[in-house]
Amino acid sequence: MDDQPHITVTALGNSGSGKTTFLLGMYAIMSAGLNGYFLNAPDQDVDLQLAARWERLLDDGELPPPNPGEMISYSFDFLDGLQRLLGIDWLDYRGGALSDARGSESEDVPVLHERLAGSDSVYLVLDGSYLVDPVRHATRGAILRETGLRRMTSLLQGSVQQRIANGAPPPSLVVLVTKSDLVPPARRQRMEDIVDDIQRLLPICFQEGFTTLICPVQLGEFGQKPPDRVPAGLIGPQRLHYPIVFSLAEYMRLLSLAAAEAANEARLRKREAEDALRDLRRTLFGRGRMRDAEAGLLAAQDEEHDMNTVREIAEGRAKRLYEELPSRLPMFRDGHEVLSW
Amino acid sequence: MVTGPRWQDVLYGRTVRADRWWRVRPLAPDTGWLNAMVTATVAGGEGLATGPRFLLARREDALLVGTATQADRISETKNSDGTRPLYCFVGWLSLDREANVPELDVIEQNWTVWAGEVYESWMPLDWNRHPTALADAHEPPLKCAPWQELPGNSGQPGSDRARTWHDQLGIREDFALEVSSLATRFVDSPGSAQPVGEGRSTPHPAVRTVDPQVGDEVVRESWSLPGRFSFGKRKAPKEPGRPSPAGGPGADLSYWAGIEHSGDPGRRPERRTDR
Repeated sequence: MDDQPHITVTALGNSGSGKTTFLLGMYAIMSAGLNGYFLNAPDQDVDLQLAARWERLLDDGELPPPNPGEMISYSFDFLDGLQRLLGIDWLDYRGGALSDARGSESEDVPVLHERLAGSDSVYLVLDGSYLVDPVRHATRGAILRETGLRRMTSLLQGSVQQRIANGAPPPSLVVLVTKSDLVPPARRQRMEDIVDDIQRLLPICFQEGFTTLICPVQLGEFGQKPPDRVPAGLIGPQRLHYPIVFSLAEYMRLLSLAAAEAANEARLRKREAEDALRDLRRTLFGRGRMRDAEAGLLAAQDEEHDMNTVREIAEGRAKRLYEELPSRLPMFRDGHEVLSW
Repeated sequence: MVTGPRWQDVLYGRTVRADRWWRVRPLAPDTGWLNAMVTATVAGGEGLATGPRFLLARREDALLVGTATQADRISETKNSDGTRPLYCFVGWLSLDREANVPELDVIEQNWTVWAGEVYESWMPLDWNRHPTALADAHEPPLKCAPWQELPGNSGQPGSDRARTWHDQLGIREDFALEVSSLATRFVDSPGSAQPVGEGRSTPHPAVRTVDPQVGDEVVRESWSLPGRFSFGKRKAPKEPGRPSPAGGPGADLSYWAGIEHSGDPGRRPERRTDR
């Protein structure tokens, strides 16, 4: 269906932060299916290409090469069983585009900026090697600069302002800690430590209006200085699929809220029409107006029913998607940690 | 034979510090064409670990010849960003319609030396510079091509791809020909943001001509029957994802209400059962 709703997902991350590897792993897991949910590239060439790159990594330990100065756009379908629920637009690009000016020689920069304003979900990619030690006042500035987090915060601020001006909600956020195998196990197991660090580095994610998932992901256990080719035997992807599940769950949650609001408005219109009809029935004249009021009443009743149905279905889908996320992954809404959807 | 300084270096490759790719870019009449040719040949570095890809392209008076390769084939020191091997495109552009290009066999014998000289003469200027200092690409001077001193083209090309290259040398219309040395992959059309298709599992000598008009691609392929060509058109390249105007899920309410009317239950069959 051409007018099928879609969500736009954009991963912001510096060069080498792991954006492309994450995409390959996420697609490999979700295209095979997970608890009845599937991600599928309708273009079979794209499906084969993504699969081939992932298999080269698994078989030969060959990491994806750096992205050049061109953008690669991917379209996926998210399916619940055989039913297409949503389209997903994904863009892969060189991390250097983040820090280039719009007027620079590279044509990818304005596209990235424009796309960010239209993104329903934004992944802020943080290389786990920067979380080996707790973030301190003395180290914060260097980390912000080297990881591009300062620039990401600025870009996010700009895009959110644009979205608000367009009447759209802020995007859902995922703080994607890639290469989390580099974080010492003691810190990794206590997610509180990771959360503390991220709150110091990315305070924007904990502001009112944002729903944020913190998700450490890893491809395997490769140690502090992984070689160009990682040992295939050490590859063991973890948690790569949770961010996209979260993005879709948030879409469904916001859809249910929008439907509830629309149902409420329809209910108010229905009451107004009922009041108008009551008044008109007390008069001898105004049959034409009465027909209009009756038609308005029927339309409001239908819309209330439709919107309540959409709300109920979207709520159910959001709940089921959220249930796929492990409870130990911290999620914040308006700056407060939430334990369920 | 045309002599004299009629060529300019082309170098597309990132540095160890900056994720910016144009190092040396002539002011071609159509920079979009040059950009499309180079990025299509580089193709995100896919497949370059197995061998270089050679490009021969003409657009009006502009003639471009070059190689996409892993950087470690032409530079011993400037070939990695610290964690990943780098790749690049090294080439030469002439705006002289009569400029000459050697046969593919000659290029294949000499390309590492020629490309290495270009790479090592330009890349050190930028290699360790701060990213903010790399605003624009260098504009190269006119120079003689490295093949200028070689004897004129002679002898018969030995392979199908070398023959196709030879045939293109005499063509004065717009075209773009990419030859893969190990011939195991295809590149999508110039300017396309689509990833490389690698759907074919059997190795084949790939020789393609590309219509440089952005959009359609005319393909001459010799993978099935050597010496014979099939002609066909591929679908137009897709624009990088430009999202529709923002609106959030609330903008989709009418769609979902319509789905509900069409009988979509919206409920999943039970997949898990208690044991």
